[in-house]
Amino acid sequence: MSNGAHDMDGMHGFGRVDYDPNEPVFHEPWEGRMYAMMMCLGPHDVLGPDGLRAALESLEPSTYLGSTYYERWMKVIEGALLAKGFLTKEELDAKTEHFQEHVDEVPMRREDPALAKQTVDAVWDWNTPHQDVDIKARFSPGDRVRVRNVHPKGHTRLPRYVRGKQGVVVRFYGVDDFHDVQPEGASKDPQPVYNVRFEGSELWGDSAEANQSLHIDMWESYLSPAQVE
Amino acid sequence: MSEGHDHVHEEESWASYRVKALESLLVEKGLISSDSVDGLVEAYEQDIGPMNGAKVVARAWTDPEYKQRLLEHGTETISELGFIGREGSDIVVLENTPTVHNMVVCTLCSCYPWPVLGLPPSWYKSEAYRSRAVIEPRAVLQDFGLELEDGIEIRVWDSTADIRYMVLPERPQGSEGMSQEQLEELAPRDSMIGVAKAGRA
Repeated sequence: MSNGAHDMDGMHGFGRVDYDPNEPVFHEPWEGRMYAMMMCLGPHDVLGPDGLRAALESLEPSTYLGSTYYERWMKVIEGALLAKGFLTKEELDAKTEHFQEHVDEVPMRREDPALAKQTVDAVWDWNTPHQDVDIKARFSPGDRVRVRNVHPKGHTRLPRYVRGKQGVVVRFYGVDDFHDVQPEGASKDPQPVYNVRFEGSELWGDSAEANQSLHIDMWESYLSPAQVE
Repeated sequence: MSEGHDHVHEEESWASYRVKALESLLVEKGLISSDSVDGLVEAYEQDIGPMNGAKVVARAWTDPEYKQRLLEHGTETISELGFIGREGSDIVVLENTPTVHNMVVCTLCSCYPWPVLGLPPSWYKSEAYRSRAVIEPRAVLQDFGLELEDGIEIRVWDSTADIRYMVLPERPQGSEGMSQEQLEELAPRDSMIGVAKAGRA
């Protein structure tokens, strides 16, 4: 979805940035296991074609904001595993209770060294997002553009704070896969991607800080020529 | 961190049991294998982290020709050192100068250049950073102890597409003549996100 709790740019009230200089990669072992399991489940397509981000954004706003990063992952993967029948709630609850009662017990183990090597090696694969398709870019660096004022119900990479705002194209990156979740029948084809610069005052008016600009990557369908609207 | 707790199980969260249960059932049903999970955790705890990005930065500080290629063709130039892959197949490097300070955020999620910086720290994924970095970057930088004069332009890069951004911090004064390894020590993670200057860890 587009106007969800995840789209928090410019919101007030979250306080100072809580900084721990000695933070470990994973705060507790379960975070690492959760992270890695999500990656390992990729080939099983548990989350469906819209993927992890759309699933995270579909959490209730209070759940989204009330959960840590990997708790969100846990909640969406659990929901998808149950919904698709990979697991039942009864067996998951029973197993959870079992581990609560037997705290020294570890999860069942099964090893597959060939698969493990393949899984870890894939981390280093170069999968360029650029698609070699013959699409002519509508805009060029230097062009003034206005972001369309749209509020799609599905996943989008267009944050709300730039909608309707004017900026200048500074880079053309190429033609990339488009990740927005589109209504039935709408094009999911790759599109030109640009980096667009917005002045702080265009986005935040008199509240902007001094000498501040925003650079945001935009698929072409987010943009219209500035003079048209 | 939970230092000071002698009772190992006292602080175990419900999530830790739930995730144990998930792992156990997924293994039992043949959906995942344990050593794949082990391998990924180990890779991101040991091999894929900001020490990779620091190598890129140190090289750029000492090799002008490399630096130029790095700024023009980030992905290819970084891949020469072997750092390429998931969440980093299209990396753009942004140069900080005495007049322009770049910093990176992902307001919608947690996009971050994994091959060079590893997985993002909690603060990068936090509501506070994601909400404030775009509207009051100078105030956010103050939370990190970095004061920038009004004359310095702050460019905030919100990673919304598949491009991942890494900052090339300014080389600290007094680092002339240092070895590659010494220079790597001067390029901590936060300087490559743009919330700190190089030279202090």
